[in-house]
Amino acid sequence: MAQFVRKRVLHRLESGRERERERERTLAFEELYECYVSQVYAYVRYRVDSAAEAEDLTAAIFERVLAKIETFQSDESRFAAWLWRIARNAVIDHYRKQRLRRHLPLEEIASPVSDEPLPEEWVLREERVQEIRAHLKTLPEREQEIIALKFGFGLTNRRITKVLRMKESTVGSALHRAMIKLRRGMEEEKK
Amino acid sequence: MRTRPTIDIDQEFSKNLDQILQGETAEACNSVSEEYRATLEFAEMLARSKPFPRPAFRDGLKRKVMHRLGLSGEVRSQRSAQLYPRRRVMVMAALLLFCLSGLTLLQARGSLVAAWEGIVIYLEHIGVREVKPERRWELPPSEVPTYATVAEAQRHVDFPIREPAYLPPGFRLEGVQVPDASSVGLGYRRETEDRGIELLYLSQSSLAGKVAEYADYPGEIQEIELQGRRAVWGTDKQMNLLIWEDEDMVFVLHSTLPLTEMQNVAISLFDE
Repeated sequence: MAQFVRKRVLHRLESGRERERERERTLAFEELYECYVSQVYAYVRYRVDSAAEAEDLTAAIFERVLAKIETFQSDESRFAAWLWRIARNAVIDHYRKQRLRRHLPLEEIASPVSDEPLPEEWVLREERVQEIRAHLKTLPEREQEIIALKFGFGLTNRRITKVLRMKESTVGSALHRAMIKLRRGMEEEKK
Repeated sequence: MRTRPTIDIDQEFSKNLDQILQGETAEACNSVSEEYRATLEFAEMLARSKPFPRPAFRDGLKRKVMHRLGLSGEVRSQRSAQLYPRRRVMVMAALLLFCLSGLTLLQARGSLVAAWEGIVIYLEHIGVREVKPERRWELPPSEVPTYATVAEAQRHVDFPIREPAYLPPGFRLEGVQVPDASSVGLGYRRETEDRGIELLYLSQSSLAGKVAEYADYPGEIQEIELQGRRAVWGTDKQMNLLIWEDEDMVFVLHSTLPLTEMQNVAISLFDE
């Protein structure tokens, strides 16, 4: 009998451990979300034309992360690299889909951010970002990507080389060149 | 002849940019051009203008993601409890076997409940969740020697069996099981119209030291105090658990009863 009871107790302990693991997993994911959501949003915002699109894509990226998190078993540094890849692929997919639905009227493509009152700081920042994005999109795709990875995710050139599979020296020169072009473009507009 | 050291301007720019992005001051060397400095200032402006998500969006997405994460956890545990077709066949075969063993029990104990008990124990064992908690019964299969009274069981164990001085109204002794000379299990039950069958199973064994082991568990089982004695209280949706030690004995109470009632039963067992 005691053996039977012990078996039952151990079974219960095991299910308790499962619940504990579940709790730890939730906490870990919450931490990762807090850590990366702003970076993901910033990267995406540099790559798309509106805040609404950036929000949709950020949500889609975290959905993808959630769907695949079970298959991911590694440390946080690899998680970051994995997340950059997911984010980048989401942006690529977004443009692919957008090309397919170009015939749709604009109001069906773009949706407003929200009806709620927006924080003033966010509105001011968003105006500035729109201005930057307008000039950024005139640059070649590769240069846009490098700037978005640099300023959105805050990646070092070495990490950008891993994401884009380029030489470090090429990333450095492309970044410098892109920044000069972007500055000149924005200065010229002011004149 | 001395030559001026050449600097890789792109590399220098990347270095300065990383300093800016880390919130430091970019230290450009003196030999750089005006355009370089202007571009660095522009980079500083760009870093200050980094887009950030609306707080409402950020919080809303977090809630959505965490909710989905919770749901996926539930789906996972449901999946693990799910019966797959092949397993279903095995369950049916096992049920048949248990019905037969239940019939043997029926003959031995003269009660229809015994047959049901055999099936329920097996269903519980293989994780079939459809069994209603109030219809559960804890007595293990019939190979464990079972006696009708404590006096009969006492002859087969080498320690004095303790009986609770208090039992919630309606509970009666169903049987005393003696798996070996060092442990005994007293099964009580009551049946009411509104709550169905309720169980109370008291295990006593000379296996001291187990409480500490359970108390270290960080999950649903927690350490409590029972009139100054250390005890462990565990709870889940199906059956509650109370473990404590007294002298060299370990006591385990399993029941569908709430903690207060189980505590009362436990306290009534204390060796004064």
